[in-house]
Amino acid sequence: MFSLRQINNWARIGSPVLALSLAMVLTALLLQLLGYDPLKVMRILFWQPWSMVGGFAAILNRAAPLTMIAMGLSFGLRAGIWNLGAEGQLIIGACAATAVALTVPLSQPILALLVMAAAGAMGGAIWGLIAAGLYLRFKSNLIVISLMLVFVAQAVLNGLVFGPWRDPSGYNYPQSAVFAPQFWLPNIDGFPLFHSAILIAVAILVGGGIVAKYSRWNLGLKLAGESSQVAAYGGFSSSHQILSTLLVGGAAAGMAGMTMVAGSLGQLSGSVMQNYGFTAILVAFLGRLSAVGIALAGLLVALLTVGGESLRIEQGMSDSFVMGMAGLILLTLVAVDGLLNRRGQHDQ
Amino acid sequence: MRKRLVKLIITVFALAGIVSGSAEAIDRVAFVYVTPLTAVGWSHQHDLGRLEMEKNLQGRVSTSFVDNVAEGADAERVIRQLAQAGNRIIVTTSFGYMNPTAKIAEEFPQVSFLHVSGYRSNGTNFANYNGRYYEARYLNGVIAGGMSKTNLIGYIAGFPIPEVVMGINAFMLGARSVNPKAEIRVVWLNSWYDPVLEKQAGLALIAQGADILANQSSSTATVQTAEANGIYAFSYSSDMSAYAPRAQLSGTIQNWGDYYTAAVKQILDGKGMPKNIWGGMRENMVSLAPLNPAIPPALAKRVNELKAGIIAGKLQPFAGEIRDQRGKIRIAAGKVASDDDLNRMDYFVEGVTTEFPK
Repeated sequence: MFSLRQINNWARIGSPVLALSLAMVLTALLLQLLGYDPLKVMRILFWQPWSMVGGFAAILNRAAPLTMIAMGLSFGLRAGIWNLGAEGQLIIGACAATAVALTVPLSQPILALLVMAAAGAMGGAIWGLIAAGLYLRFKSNLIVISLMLVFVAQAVLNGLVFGPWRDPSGYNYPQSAVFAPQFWLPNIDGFPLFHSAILIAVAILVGGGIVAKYSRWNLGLKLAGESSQVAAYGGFSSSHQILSTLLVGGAAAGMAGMTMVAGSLGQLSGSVMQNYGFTAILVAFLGRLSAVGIALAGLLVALLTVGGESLRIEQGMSDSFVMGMAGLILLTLVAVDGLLNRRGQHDQ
Repeated sequence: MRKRLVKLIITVFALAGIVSGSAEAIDRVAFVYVTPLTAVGWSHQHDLGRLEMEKNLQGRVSTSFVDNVAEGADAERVIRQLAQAGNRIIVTTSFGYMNPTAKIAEEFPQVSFLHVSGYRSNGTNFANYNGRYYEARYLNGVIAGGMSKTNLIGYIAGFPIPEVVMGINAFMLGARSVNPKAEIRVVWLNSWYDPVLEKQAGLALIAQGADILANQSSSTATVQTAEANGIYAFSYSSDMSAYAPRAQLSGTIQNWGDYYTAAVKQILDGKGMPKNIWGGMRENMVSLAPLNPAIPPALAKRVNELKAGIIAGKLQPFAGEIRDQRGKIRIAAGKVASDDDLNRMDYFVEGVTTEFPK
């Protein structure tokens, strides 16, 4: 019949599918109870974004920063290093990228974008390292430190857009001047509406996937996640792991911040950060910390956002109702998948 | 052969589209709101305007709205999706929608865009409009100046953009016109909608001795805080006397129905984009909320006279001489601030004791 390995493989792939189906059935039941047409709502939420012009682009554009951040976070999370401060690392990355766009006189577009991207990644990495350094120095709680640094980052952002970077011709609104054209991340050649941040996200996912599969560093993180003593016995230092994972997570988040300011907006604004750094934590876990999983989870979360907007536009559903529905779907998915998957592992 | 067939099919569908289009002739107009749609406030007034326009143009338009759309990337996505969904006109109702709207307007030349409270437009399919709220603010200030015992007015506001700054200044000028000792202190929310922070700001101002509150943000927290603490307040955007029947002295009301009706009709009639407009009390885009009976008759009479003066164009709130809070003359005696001066206002007038944010 089937070998145990085969059954386990089926469970690995089957459990999220089963979980998603269950989540959809549960949501459909709820919609029916509330007097909506569940099939119609589901069709708009899950199918319409793919079929409408620009819907696919909207999904990928939204998924790009989420998957970038999630991939970066996955390494630390695998070792149980809880960096919840991606939002702050993203903000500082966005600020660093903006600093380049506003002050460095580069006219060659590719060079300008490369310098800007490097600044974004470095900004995020430094913010991550600050959290790591504080943790290693004071041995307090990394979750709290990284989370509190989000508020500090927000204050830095406000200080900049209300102060030195406020657009002189922007009628006092807290946002920077619009960047010169060479500092705009263009759409992908031949694919209008598809933002080139998608390519950066794909590169990060592929690179991250390779590192996760082949590097000794990731093996150490995996061991640390299972047991810190085993990892120490294998010669993996935990302080090195904390520094390196926060550096990587911060750099990826900072990169995402760069794509956000250089992307659709072309300016830094006090209200640009919309919790991408927090949503990405969900994406990382939903994707079970693997590159393929994160890509799929990012697409699902983006689909729920774009499809949710379609529901609001076409069905006149309220924002809070749509958000609640998306939340219910994701929660069921995480819970059921977690349950099935854990059961599968125990049976090994 | 296959190519021809495809062409034929496309032509048939195109013709069918034209025929069905002319048979229905109902155009869709969509609105984007920055806050959740509540029973009062900035977005609510735009929604009232939407409904009024829909009623006035019955049979010609159908309307829809999307609320609680964050400024920035989310706004861009929603506005684009609305344009793709076949809306003929899209109305975006927050300052932070300006750049995304300008961008989408370029992508969709066949769709018309109306944007409130910004400064950009393109002359072809993207126009802006706004109200001269400062006219009613001036009258609110006159009432406040006459009613305050402590001479301290607390003012809670979102962001120091010129629209807000000129409202604060007009209020101050009105208050000082009847009470030279009146003073305004300002607390910034850095948000258009944050009822919790708004309430805390109100309580802080009351603790400092303010006996009148005014605000430029989108919740009822200010008038409710005043009601709960036995002081007076002015409503903004909507009449909020249902929330603060005793505390609300008057307020600054926005009315968009006339504008939306005229603008949408003009576009649908093929008469081009509406001009950029900045309408005031004369156009009824801005009005004064009903006066609280607690206002002494003499003061009420004076306010009504001044109101008539503003509507007739005889009274200009920003007529010189006006000095800023450092004593520097900003508008010389005998001069009236131009619209451009107002739109670049980056100072507080004498009497506002909070430093202007730099």
